[in-house]
Amino acid sequence: MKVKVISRNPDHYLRETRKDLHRLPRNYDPSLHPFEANREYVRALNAVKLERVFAKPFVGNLDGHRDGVSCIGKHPKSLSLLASGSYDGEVRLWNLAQRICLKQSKAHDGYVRGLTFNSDGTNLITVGDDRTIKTWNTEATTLKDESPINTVISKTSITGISHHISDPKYATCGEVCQLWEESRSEPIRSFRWGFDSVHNIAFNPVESNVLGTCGNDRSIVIYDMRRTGPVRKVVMTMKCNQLCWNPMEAFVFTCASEDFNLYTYDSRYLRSPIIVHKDHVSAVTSVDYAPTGRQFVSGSYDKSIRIYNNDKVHSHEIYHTKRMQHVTFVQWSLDNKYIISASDEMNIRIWKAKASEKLGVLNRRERAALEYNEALKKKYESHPQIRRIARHRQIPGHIHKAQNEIQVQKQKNLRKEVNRRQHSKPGTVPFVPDKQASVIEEQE
Amino acid sequence: MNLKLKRAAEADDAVYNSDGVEDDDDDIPENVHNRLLGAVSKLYKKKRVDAPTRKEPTLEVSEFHLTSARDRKKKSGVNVSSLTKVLDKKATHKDIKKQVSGATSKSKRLDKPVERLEAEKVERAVGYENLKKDLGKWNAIVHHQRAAEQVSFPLPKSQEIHTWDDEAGFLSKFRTPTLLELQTAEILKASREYRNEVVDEEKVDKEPPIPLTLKEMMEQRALMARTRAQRRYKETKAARQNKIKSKKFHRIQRKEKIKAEMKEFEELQKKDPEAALKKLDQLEKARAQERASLRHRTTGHWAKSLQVRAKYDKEARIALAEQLQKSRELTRRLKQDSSSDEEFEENNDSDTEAKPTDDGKTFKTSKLDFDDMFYKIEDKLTEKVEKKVEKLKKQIDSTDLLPREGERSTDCSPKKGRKKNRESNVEDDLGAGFAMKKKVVRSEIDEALDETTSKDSTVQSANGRWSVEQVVLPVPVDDIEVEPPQEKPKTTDIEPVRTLQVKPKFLKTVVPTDLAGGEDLDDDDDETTAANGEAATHNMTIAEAFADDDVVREFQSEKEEEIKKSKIDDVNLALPGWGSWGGHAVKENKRKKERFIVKFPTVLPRRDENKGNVVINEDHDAPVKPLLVSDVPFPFTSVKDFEASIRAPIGSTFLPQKAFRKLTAPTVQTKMGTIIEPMSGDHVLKI
Repeated sequence: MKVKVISRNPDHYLRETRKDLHRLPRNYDPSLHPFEANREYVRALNAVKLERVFAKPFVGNLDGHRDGVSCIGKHPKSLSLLASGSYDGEVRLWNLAQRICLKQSKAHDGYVRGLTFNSDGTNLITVGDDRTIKTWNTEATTLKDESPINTVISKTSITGISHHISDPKYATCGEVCQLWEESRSEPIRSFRWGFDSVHNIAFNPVESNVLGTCGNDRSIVIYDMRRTGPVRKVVMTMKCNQLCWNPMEAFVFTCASEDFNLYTYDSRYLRSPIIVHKDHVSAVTSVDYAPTGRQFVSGSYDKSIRIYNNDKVHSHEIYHTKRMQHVTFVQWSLDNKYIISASDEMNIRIWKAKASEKLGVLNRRERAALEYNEALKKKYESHPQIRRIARHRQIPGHIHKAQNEIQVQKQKNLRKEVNRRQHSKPGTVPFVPDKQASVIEEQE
Repeated sequence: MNLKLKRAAEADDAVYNSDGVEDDDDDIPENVHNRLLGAVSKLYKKKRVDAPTRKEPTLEVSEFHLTSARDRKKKSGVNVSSLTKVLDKKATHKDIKKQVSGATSKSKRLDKPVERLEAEKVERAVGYENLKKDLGKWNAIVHHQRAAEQVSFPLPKSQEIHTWDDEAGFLSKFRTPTLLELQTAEILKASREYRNEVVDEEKVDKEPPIPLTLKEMMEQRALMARTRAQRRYKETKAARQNKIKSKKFHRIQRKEKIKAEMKEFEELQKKDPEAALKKLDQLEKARAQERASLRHRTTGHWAKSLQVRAKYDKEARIALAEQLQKSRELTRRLKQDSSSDEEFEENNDSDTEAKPTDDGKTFKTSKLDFDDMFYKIEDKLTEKVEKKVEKLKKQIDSTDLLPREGERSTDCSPKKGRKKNRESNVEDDLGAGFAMKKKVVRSEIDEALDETTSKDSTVQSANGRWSVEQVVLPVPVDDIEVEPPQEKPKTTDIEPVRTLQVKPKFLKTVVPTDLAGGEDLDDDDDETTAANGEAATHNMTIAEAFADDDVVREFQSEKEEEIKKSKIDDVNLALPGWGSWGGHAVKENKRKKERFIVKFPTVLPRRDENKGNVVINEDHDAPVKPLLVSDVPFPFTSVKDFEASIRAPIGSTFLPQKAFRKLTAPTVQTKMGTIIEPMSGDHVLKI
């Protein structure tokens, strides 16, 4: 009779050094770990509840402006620098990490209409209502160094500015669109299509000689900077306030419209937008893409900020605070972690891009646990209980009311259309999809 | 208007002419007169545009600077024709003149340029097409990124090309090897492995090629022939011995074998105790395996003693039957294994020696040949089966086919033992091809029988399965065959109460009910009949046990209650006295009352509605229902796929670390504190 004794090789359970991890043998036989799906469901439920518990997106605010903030600009090379301009013509430079104002100066008479850093971030270029383009040195350390290093007086009024991604060129818009070189005081080219003024201009960061503008004639115009200038115009039912190119998809841009929606276009097929992003209950004033190109943030006149996936109609996140008024400008930080919003009531706010994210360095196991939670949430996202919790948000009363109102209006319009269709000759009242309804025409 | 002007001019001319004639001697200076003439003529002629004079360079071209064609003709009177006039005089210039005249005659006037707005439109259209083309080059990478399972930002830069500005920087990458390194390198170089040569053992052996003498060669050949012959002899002997059926022979042989092994073992114990231990282990294991395999069936002491008692003792019978059943299962599997082993061995043989089989074919045949063989065998089998079936039919028709009692279950060969199974007789003879075919047929018949004979539940079990003596036949056999399938719904209406109360007719017959399918039921052995008898008695006991209480009725009422409970009541909206006189004695109008009853809309019929004595609880998952997914979510197309995806765990509790990490990897990965730059040109080039 052979008697088996327990014998173990110490190599299997002893560590070589004290700093080694303890080896934990584990038997993955599925019969030993039953009810996988059920247990993971509970875990997913807990994960999604915890996500809501930890969803505290507000990080901090920068106060100092003495009037509403009209525009902000992110530094292309530094994550902690931010510039902002206000309605009283003041321009400030902020350190985001320390939440202090590094510099301030009265740059313009009237509004600061736009500001941008140059491609290496050494200079800040601002435009204002006083028809001047001023260049400021951002690296000068003295706080009182208030004079601009260059001032250009333009012949026409200027309402927006955008800098080329790499070259020392920038474009301004106003009565006409002009292309400037940093070292010259005359525009090197000026484009114009029609006689309406243009209030927003944006360089494509990928295909860098393409420009997009939003005009007062409810138009979006695409420019080719090298040859022809303006190449295509789309006229929409309502004016677009801002346009932003997707930094990872060269031909895609999104514009924030007055009709509460955002429209994502493929610039090669402008007949109709690819997606209409809904949910805002007032005019959308600003939009900015995340540097990953997967999401974008929008600020609206309804005092809220929403975050959308670039391929989804509805937003997956809404940020608001009691004190935040009409949002004038939003920016997504270049490390994909923060959102910066400027609003009418003189404050600049910093938000987390992912509301429940834990900031700071995570250790390995912590990260693995968080990733596991994310994966679980994704796996069980279609389950009603989990979906309900994940989608639940508190929203301000006025937004709630407005949503209901819009719903009623929509129902009414729909009903009317159906009625009209019923009582008219078949085919005379066509079915117009939502996407095409917003576009009036595409002009060559 | 024009006419008027003309007339005025003529009149003027007339005056002038008359003046000229009349005041010939008035000396008016000529130039003054000419100026006057010019001014006057200007009054009545079309206004001319002066040719531009350039003063300073400008980029702008104004439309006001353009001149009319006639103007130019007059003022800058340089024409091609006037130039060619000079060439007239020389004969050598004849060709040039010809060319010029040809060109002037052929040339057409250019079209009027398109209007500015139109021109711009065309330009923009062309520009847009070019832009589209430019943007299109990003298409591939964008789609790649969108479809990627995981994307990490900032995007990896394509390989940078290093350039060393100074020579020193480049040279710093290298260093002189040490003495030790040099020595090792030398040694390595000398070795064959280093040179990456294939070391072939045969080659190594052959390296010193020692030529054999004739004698040696002959010896070698003889040796080889001898060994071959010996092997052949042993093989044939083993084959012969395997075929011997005598039990006694095998027993003796086994004992001899064991003895030899014991001897060997003892010797080994003296020589090498460790090896002996191993051997002992092996022997033990083999013995245990044999014990476990139940190869003995009924040959052991225990089984033999049981056999004696089996005639009178039911338990013994059952135990014996169980033992047989078990052994059958075990041996069947073993047999398959061994057969496959044999095949494998054969294959091996053929591989090594390419020995021709009795068909004259080698086993080294292609797959196609195998298929052919398979089909041939199948054809043969079907033929055989048909023959057999016909034979059986004849037998059934002619004689009473009683089970052959003589065949004993204790028969030792596994092949015969399996014969006891109702259907295995043919199967054994003819192989698996028939089994498959038969199965298909049987399933059809099963359906038909269910349809037609559901009046009596016992029939189904009696369907040739184990009741041979007592087969319930409510309908004649012929009817079963002919009965059309349209009668199916009729069976559902039968009340279960009544069906049970009907006394079944038990006929003493062995005629199988499913003759049409070509089944045979020829032999049944004592085991099955015993079991059959038992089952019959079992049925009887149930019927007897519940003879007094009306279980079925009770169940019926229970079901009705259940149905009532699940029904939602109609709403009566009738108000007494509304629209008619009310009061104690007043009779309500029945029609009116009915009018005010709002009937609950008919929902789907209950699942157990026509199922007889079955209550199906449809609300068993009511508490779970709100937690379940109502629709198949997007990427999935079928419920099955979705369920599978949910069932598969992703946690480290259930999966090893590697899989866990892979399954939980985030789709978008970013690096902390790093600026993510927009996509740039080198990303396009990479893909």
